[in-house]
Amino acid sequence: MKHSYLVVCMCLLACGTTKYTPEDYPDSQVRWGSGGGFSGQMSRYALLDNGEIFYAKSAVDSMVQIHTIDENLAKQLCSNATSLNLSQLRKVPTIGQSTMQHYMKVMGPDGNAEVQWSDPREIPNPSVTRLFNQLMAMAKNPSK
Amino acid sequence: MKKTILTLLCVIISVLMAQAQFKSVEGSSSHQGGAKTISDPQAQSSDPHPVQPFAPRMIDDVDFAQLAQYSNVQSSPRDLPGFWIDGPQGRDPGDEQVFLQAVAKMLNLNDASSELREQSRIKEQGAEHVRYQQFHQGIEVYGAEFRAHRYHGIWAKANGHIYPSPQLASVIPSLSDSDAINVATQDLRSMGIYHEISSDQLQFVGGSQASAKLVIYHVNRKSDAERLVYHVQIFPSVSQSWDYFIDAASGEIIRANKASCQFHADHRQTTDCAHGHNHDDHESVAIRPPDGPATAVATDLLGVNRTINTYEVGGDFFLIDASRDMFSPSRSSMPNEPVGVIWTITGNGTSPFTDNFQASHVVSGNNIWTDRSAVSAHFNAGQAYEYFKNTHGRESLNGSGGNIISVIDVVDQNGNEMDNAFWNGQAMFYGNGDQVFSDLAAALDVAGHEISHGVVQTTANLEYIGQSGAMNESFADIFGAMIDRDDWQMGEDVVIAGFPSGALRDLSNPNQGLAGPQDINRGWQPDHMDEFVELDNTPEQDNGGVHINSGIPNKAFHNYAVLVGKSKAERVFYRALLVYLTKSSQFVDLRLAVEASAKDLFGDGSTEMSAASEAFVMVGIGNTGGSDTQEDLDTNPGDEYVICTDWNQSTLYIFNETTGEFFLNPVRVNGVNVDGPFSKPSVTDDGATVVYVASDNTVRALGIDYQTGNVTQQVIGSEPIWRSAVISKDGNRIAAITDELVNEILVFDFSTGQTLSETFELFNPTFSNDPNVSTGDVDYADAMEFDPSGEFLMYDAQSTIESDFGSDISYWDIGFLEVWDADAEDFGSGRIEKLFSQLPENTSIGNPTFSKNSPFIISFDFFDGNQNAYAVLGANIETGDVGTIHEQSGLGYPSYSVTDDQIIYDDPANDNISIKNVQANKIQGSGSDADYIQGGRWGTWYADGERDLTTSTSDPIATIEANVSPNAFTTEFVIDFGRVVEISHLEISDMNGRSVWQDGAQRDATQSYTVRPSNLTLGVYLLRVETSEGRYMTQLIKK
Repeated sequence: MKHSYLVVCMCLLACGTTKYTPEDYPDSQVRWGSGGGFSGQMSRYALLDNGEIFYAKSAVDSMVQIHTIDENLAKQLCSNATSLNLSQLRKVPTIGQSTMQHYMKVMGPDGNAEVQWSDPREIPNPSVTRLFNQLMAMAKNPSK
Repeated sequence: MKKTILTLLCVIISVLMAQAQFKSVEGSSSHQGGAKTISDPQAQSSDPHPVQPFAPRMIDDVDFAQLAQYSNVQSSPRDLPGFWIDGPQGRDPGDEQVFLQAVAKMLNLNDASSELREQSRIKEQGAEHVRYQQFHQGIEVYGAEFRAHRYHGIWAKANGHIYPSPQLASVIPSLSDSDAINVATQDLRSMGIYHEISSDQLQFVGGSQASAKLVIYHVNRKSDAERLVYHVQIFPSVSQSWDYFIDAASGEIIRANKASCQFHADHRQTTDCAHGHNHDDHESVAIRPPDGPATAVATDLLGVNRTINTYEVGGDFFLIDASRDMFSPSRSSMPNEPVGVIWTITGNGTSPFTDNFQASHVVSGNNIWTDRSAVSAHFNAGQAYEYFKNTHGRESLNGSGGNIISVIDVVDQNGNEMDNAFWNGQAMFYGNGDQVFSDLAAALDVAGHEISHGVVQTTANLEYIGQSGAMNESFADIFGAMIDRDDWQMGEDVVIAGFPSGALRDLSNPNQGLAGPQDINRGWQPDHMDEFVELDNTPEQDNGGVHINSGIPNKAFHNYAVLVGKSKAERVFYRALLVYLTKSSQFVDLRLAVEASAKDLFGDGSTEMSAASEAFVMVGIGNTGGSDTQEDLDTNPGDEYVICTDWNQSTLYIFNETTGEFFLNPVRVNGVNVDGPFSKPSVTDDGATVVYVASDNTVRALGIDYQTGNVTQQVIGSEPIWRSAVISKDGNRIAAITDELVNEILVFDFSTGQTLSETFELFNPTFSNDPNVSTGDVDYADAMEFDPSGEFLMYDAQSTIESDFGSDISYWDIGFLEVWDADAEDFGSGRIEKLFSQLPENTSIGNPTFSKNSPFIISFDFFDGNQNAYAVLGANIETGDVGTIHEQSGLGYPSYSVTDDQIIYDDPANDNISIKNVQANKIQGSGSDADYIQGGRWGTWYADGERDLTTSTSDPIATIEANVSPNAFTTEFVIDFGRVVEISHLEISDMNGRSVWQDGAQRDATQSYTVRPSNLTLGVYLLRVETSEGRYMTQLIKK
């Protein structure tokens, strides 16, 4: 009887939660990452506003969940990213092409907006790079 | 088009800036009688970036009699500020105070003991170096310091810069330091760039947003222009630092300059803004002139002893290699402003991806170097320099002796060790390694790779996206492998984990024995077009796989090197990069470029040329004629007209180019002449609508029926406030500016059936990191023209650079504004790209116009204030080529003909519109000009037909998938198309593209087809099949 009860509970838990990936997530999410350079290696991250953090280690790999953070914090971060108005950001061009790239992308029901940069001086709004660094640090160590 | 305009403009910038004939204009521009003119350059100061003459106390001022014991006084070996004294050369052991007094006397100091304060003292074996700062009544004399050097007990040298004892009557300030800070703050607020830094952010600016210090400042460094000032250092934001010099009595701002936290490759002033710094900490410009080049033997990261070139300045040694041919002593100020050197600096464990990046010299007090990372980076950069110099005759990265800068010890944006190295557009950065790599500065091929990015950037400037980006990466690998040419691997000296082969990449075997794209992180790359990895051109997907698909051209180069040898292969590929490739070249262009280069170097039909073809065929890069990056539009099929005004701008006229007679002479509505134009009329691509600002400053729209000659008129901007208005080619948008002369352009969109509007603010993007380079603020725009897509607005605008030293400098230049996003069906981002990052002195450009059929070709007016000369120039944004179409005595307001083979422009000498042929490249004139419309002005050429303004005439040829079996074949093979097709042509060519066999058989529609080619010798061929479903091409092997 105990065994059956546990199975039922687990089933209910499992069936009660819809698992999403960043590719099919219907609500807001923030994606960010960096890569390039000599190695060409990429680090790609996604934070869904339900708190799930995903990661992929190359441009072609599928994203896998690596952490979960507090949902309220996730929603706040997504909101912060949205408020940056990335689509309106006027980048400051710099001489030459850098082979290292950083990017941040806000995705949601209202559309997507993205910005990429190499040198932080390209981004006139320092809040963008601050949030990027915050997200990057959180993804590597969410307990901090 | 978006790509063409917004991403390819940088090419033209560098090319244009290299044109010696480009001199900048100055003086304000103004409208007179509605036409924009550029005022007399003689009216104002001629230098947009005034550099005041520096008046150092040179050695000529010395009373030699007072320095009998210090007799080896020499003038500076170069025309540099500062002084340079050689001591008694061992004839007198000397005493430090005696030496100082002698120096003080020589430099007109009253009392060395009170006016010179020791700042630092470095003792080392056999030498001692003391740094002194000049003070006056206890107040620092800004920028006045020198160093004294003792060698083997003898005070033998001194160098630096000292002012004569100040003669200020008082050093009591009237203002407080907070008053001075307030002056600076208000000034920054007036520029709109001051923001209060929150308390949690103050840590990034040294704990306080501003500080003030009383100093004695010599205006323009003139010894008789001393002022008591506050030196205010202020951070208007976390990422900016400004220096203000504010008169301590009057509050006058004597000097203000931005001092961002950055180092500079070859710029005039190095600014170290380690937060919380003061100028006492600077290795400042006072250290002059250099002691000179030195060499040292030091151990690198591989444990190998290397001879490295260093540079001694004032007893300190710097990792600056000034021993190469490119070094320019006359343009250098060592150690902070060298020109033509190989320079290694350290990031001190900070991140170039944050605002807190702090780079500094790598310094040794004794020319002994224990930082192996620095030794490796410095030595390897020298090896790369020598490779390009000796193998390709290339003088440094940029081909003209630009600095080669390596930055070691950098970390990622979170302060973690960086497992990577990269090129940032100006310098090479090396991480210390982490989990996958050891210190990346160790490896010669890494240095070669990164330095080669600089070469690519200053040659073809291959766009870092898609195939061109993969070629960019590939050329970096190719030259990296040739610089470190003992193998074909990349990174094998620094890989410590994660790559089964022990190398990051391998040009000879891009697959590296791995399975496929799932092993990209383990070192797999495609080695054939069959394995090309399709990715989005987004940063999330490596900009289309630039680090992935580079394996294909890498392998092509390897193939070629195997066939002809490395020494020939590298020369051919370098020439392809230098001569043939352009920014958006694709793989097939690389093949064609390599073939052309092989032909140039070794002759038509040479084995090197056929081997080039073979090398690319082996990786599946076919000879399909190349990508047409010059995506021309179809020519407007209608009858041709020219709309113009007269030199009094009294009304408009339309000339029928087809008949050679005026069609509307003048343009009338209900029997009345339309009002004359205040701005040059703008016409939709089909000629149906003409928009212009009339002489009463209202905006008019004329509807023209070319069948009947009927004209209707609408006042679409009734307020008399308008200065200029243009309509997009498709008629969906109008851009307008008002006569308020503000830096805004209003754009109205009608494509949705509603009238939407957006105001775009104009600004000057900063291309340069040089704090001495200023592009000033945009005052207002004038001439405008939409590109064919209607997404971009090309405009000219006046900008003004405020000068601390004289009249403000105004100039005109050209920008591109993204006003519409066709994908989003909404207004664009407002991004701006400039045709020039900064116009050279005394030049202006304006009145730009697109060619009719090539959106990447523009023409514009050019004014050289030095020569008082005008010209109509043409420019190819795609290739960066610039040409002269016509030189004349005034502004031309050019307009291309409908077929782009001619151009019309104003001839102010004769009050006519003139016409001239242009060459096939559309940017150079041909032959002499001729009168076109007597008395005409502001002509715009157009046609009344309709055409697709978005579709290229060079649509890609449809392709079809098929399978050939067996391949290799002996007598026959079967092509299986997987569906029924009709074969219209079947041909086999050799590697030189020569047709060797064609199938003449009658063919029915079929799914598979058997081919039995005759008389083929053993070898590799190309099979091309044209079918009803598209073209199929593949490599074919006869065995």
